[in-house]
Amino acid sequence: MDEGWSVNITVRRGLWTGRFEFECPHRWVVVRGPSGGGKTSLIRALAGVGSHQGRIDIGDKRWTEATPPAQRRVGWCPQDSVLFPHLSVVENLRLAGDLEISTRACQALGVADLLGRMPRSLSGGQRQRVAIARALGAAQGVLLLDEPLSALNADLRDSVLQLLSDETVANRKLHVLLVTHEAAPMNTPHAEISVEDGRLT
Amino acid sequence: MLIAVLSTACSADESIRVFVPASARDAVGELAREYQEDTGVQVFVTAESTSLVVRQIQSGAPADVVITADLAWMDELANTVTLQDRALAATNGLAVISKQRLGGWTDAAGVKRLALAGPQVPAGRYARQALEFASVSPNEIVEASNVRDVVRWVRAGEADAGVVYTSDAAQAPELNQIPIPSAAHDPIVYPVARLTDRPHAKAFYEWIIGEHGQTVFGRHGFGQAGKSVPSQAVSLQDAVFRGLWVAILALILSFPFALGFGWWLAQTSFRGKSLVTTLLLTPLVLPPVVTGYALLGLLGRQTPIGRFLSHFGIELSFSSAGAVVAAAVVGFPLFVLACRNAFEAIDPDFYDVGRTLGLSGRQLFQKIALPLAAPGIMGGAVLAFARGLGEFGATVVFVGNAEGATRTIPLAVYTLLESVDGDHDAILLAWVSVGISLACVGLWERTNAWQRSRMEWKRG
Repeated sequence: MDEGWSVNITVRRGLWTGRFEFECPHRWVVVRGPSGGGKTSLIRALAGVGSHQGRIDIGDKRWTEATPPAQRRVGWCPQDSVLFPHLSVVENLRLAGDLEISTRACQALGVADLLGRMPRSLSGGQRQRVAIARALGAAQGVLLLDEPLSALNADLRDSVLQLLSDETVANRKLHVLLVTHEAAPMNTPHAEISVEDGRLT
Repeated sequence: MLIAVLSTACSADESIRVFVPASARDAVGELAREYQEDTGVQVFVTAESTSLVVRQIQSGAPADVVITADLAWMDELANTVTLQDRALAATNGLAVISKQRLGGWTDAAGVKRLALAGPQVPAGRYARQALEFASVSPNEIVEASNVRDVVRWVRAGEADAGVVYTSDAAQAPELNQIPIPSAAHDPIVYPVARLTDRPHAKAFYEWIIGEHGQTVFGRHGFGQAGKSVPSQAVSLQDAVFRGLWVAILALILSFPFALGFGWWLAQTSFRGKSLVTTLLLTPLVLPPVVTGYALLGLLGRQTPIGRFLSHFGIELSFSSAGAVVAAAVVGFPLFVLACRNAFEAIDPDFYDVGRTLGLSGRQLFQKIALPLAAPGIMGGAVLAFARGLGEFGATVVFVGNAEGATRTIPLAVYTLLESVDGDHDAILLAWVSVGISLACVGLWERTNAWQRSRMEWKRG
């Protein structure tokens, strides 16, 4: 499967066990499900920062539990939009990798004038958009977005989704896994999976 | 850099060290200043209770000349150390001091509260001999650790009368004084010994037992009654700058250890971790005097480590370098705790994001952990600095209390409190101390605010 996703992993965290097994012929996977169901655990396992057993095939990439995060180089936008508080916006972007891509994303998301600011002086929505831009700059093939739309109004959600679909399909051929509660209109071909209690339902 | 500073601090070729009992401090201090003016050779005078002086020299304190307050302690010293030469420096007598006029010296037993030095101190032993000789028993005895405290208490009205050396009584002319006949107690003699053959040690020894030395001792109330001579054996400026400098060097010395152990404790978990933590924090809860004693046993000049260090010209015990080590050791627990807490407070998500960005372990530490923990580390540094500045117990045991060498601010305050005319300077120095401490606490509070402003936005 050259284009899509084939994931078969087990994640253990203390007594909690999650089994995630899915195939998807498209570049986009949309994950839904109640909070506490294991969505974030799935993302952390894919990013390589939460340990897992099993195999992950995304496009032509093949990762096992032994593949360290530095080799996966996913663009990860965590739920709390974790910007480094001691670095300015532009330093955050530079640390992540391709500054050209991330500044372009900032322009598209209307946060390009914030580059010199420190994260603590940004609103929640501004931080979220910067974090998305940072993830785009960092992604070398795979983009993992954990609730990236939660602090944004409807207009901004649309521009985020528009940017993502432009970047993925037209420009960079990214694979995207998007966790969201929104029933956002998706005009990109995608599969939806639902995660509950550590299982796909 | 540090090593260079430390070794210059402890190699003072053109200087001699003299250890004397507290009661002989003013007289020998005056002789030392005169000698210094005449010859340009620095004379470091360490004044402590005789028992501590002897213990310190037995532990390797580099003394050229020593005076004790009785023969027994000098004999004790001669058991372990070779005395090159030995003579009598001075004699002393006892007197009863009081604010109220007393009829005779035995009336001291009739007052409500009588202050005596403890029985282990020669002055206390002689006083008890005299009371026993006169077959009188006092109503209530308040026991002081040394004769200077007896003078202080009587002066402050804490005690109604006290028995002290005539040399100390001479420093308090405003009090009523009745001499105690010398037949009532063993002869009070101050033997002096020379421990090295260095030319200036010989010269200063001769200077003490010579005619001029005897005149000075006489003027300070030894052997004969005399009037008080104001003395200023403590340099306030020296104590303040020495104290600050010692605390700064101590901070530099402990920084890499505090940072390394703090990071290690925050990052790893293993069996016995709480045991290791406990050991690292021991100096925080150990009485500082015990810490100083442990340092002496570990790093003193007679120990394997001490002998090893001396090959490199580093001598820690009874040197300013040792004061730095003592301050570093007692400040270290505060520093390492602050570092550990600062590292532990960092949300692990930051490291996880950093790892997905391809940062190595070293880069995670340099680019993320260190800057995020910086406010907490700074706070720990400020606390450790303040602790080092206030360090007393470990310092006085490990490196002694030598003017111009190891006397930091708290040691100077203590010395001034012990001397009869030191109140004014002690208060001055106490205020300096309060000022520096408040500045440190204020700075520490700033680092806390800095830390909070860093973290409060964290959740989007």
